[in-house]
Amino acid sequence: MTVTRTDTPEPDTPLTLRGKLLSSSGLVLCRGHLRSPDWSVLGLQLLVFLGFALLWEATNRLALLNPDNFPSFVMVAKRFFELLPTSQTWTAVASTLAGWALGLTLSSVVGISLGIVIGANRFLSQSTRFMLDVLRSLPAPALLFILILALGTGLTMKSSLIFYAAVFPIMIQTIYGVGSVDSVVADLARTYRLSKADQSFRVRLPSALPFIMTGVRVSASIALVVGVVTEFLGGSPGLGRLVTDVRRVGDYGGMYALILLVGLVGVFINVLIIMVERRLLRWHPSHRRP
Amino acid sequence: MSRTGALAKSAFVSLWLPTLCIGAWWLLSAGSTSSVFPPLSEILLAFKDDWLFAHFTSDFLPSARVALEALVISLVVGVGLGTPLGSNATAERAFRPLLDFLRAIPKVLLISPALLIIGIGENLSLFVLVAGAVWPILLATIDGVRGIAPNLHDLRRVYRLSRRDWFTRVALRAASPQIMAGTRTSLSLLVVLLVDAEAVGATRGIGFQIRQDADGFQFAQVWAALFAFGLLGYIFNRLFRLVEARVLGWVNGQGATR
Repeated sequence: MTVTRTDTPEPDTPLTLRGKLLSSSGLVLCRGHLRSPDWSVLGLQLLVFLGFALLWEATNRLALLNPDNFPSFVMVAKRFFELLPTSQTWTAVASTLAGWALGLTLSSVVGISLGIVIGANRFLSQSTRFMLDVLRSLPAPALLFILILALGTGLTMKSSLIFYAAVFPIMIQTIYGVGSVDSVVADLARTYRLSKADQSFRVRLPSALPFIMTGVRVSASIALVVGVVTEFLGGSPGLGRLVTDVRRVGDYGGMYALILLVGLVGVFINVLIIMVERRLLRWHPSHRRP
Repeated sequence: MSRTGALAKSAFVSLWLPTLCIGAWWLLSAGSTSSVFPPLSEILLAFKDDWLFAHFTSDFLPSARVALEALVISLVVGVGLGTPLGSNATAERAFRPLLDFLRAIPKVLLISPALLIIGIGENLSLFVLVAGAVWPILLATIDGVRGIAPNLHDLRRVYRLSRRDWFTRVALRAASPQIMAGTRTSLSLLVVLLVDAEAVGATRGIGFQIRQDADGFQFAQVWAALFAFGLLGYIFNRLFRLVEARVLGWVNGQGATR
């Protein structure tokens, strides 16, 4: 799923998001439980995965790539299941997810609160726009080098960098969302003389929630990627570093297996966030049953 | 308010905060003896020495060139694969899980096998960049082609357009706003991946420089290289907007019905 970013970020509106979620999978979640899946699509999807595995195997067997460096799929699968139950793997997963969770939580809290404050005020929105654009475009891996020199390679550094990378999408989406409150609804709130607090938390925040959740979803994947970057480039403990360690001892099958594992973690995180999003936005028209 | 007055006011509103922050940074870091956060004056000096124009041809341009090459390849692959997938709903649904899975793999990790298979050099950077940048374009193309208005499909049938004519003259043009949006995302992704790839597997480039400087504890130079990346991103963004205006000029141009 893409949130296509433009200069004034155009977030996925809840309607397009829902359309994508429903149309692009064979499994359809309906009101929280699985409808009976579309077997033919599921079959095709499995076929595609099979094709991928076959392509991999063929590349190895036919030596399209040097088989010393590109082990067979069967070998990689074997290593995957061998590495999966080890404590080394799970410690690494825990380290990666710890940094991810910490960084994402911090960036959500800061991003959403600042975003609400900024988004509600036109002057603030315009004042911060340029700065946010500039800061957002500084690549996190480059900042990594400075942070490592300042903070070392521990959890603090990792979560700080993740915070930096993840806060901007959330903040920008929140600002956008808060600014998109239906003007009729906003006027209604004012007419009924709702307190400022009520206007913020009972009108603006719920209206902006779909946009905020899109931002959180995007930031969740960014957070994982940046975490892995700090591990891979910077040597922070975690899956990224495990990949390098495993490569150094020559366990190439294990290296590929771990890369695939990280992919699975990423998919898992994505699914998690989507489930949270559905729960939080159950009331929203875009999430009601078609 | 006069036109220039309004312009001046909007400029002020946009710029007062950044100016204030830079000023504060300058003042607060002026007497800094900390190694990791040297005075801003020192950083700017390092930037001038390094990137204007000593390393410009030896590092900045090569990095820019690799990134642009990667963008072109990504466009070809992304649009090439995305168009058939977008046209065929079953194919798209069938491939979606695999695509989601592959996309979820952080491309940094691909540097590891690439070091073995491709070895150090520009090809490694190119590979990693393409592996990362192809995704936004691919997905945007799929979305764009899928979302082509039904009228255009009717048009295709009525005029009995050949496959080639349909794709080159109608479909791609209709999907181009989406594709351009994906390209913009790819462009910023390219800058990020450039850091990753060059820091590990290159012999020149901004990323190579930043790695060198960090290893040598040249802090001001590290900051300067960070700015260089920012500059690269900014230049790409500007160039992109020019190209986008050209390619998508027709989108807002048809104001006849409005």
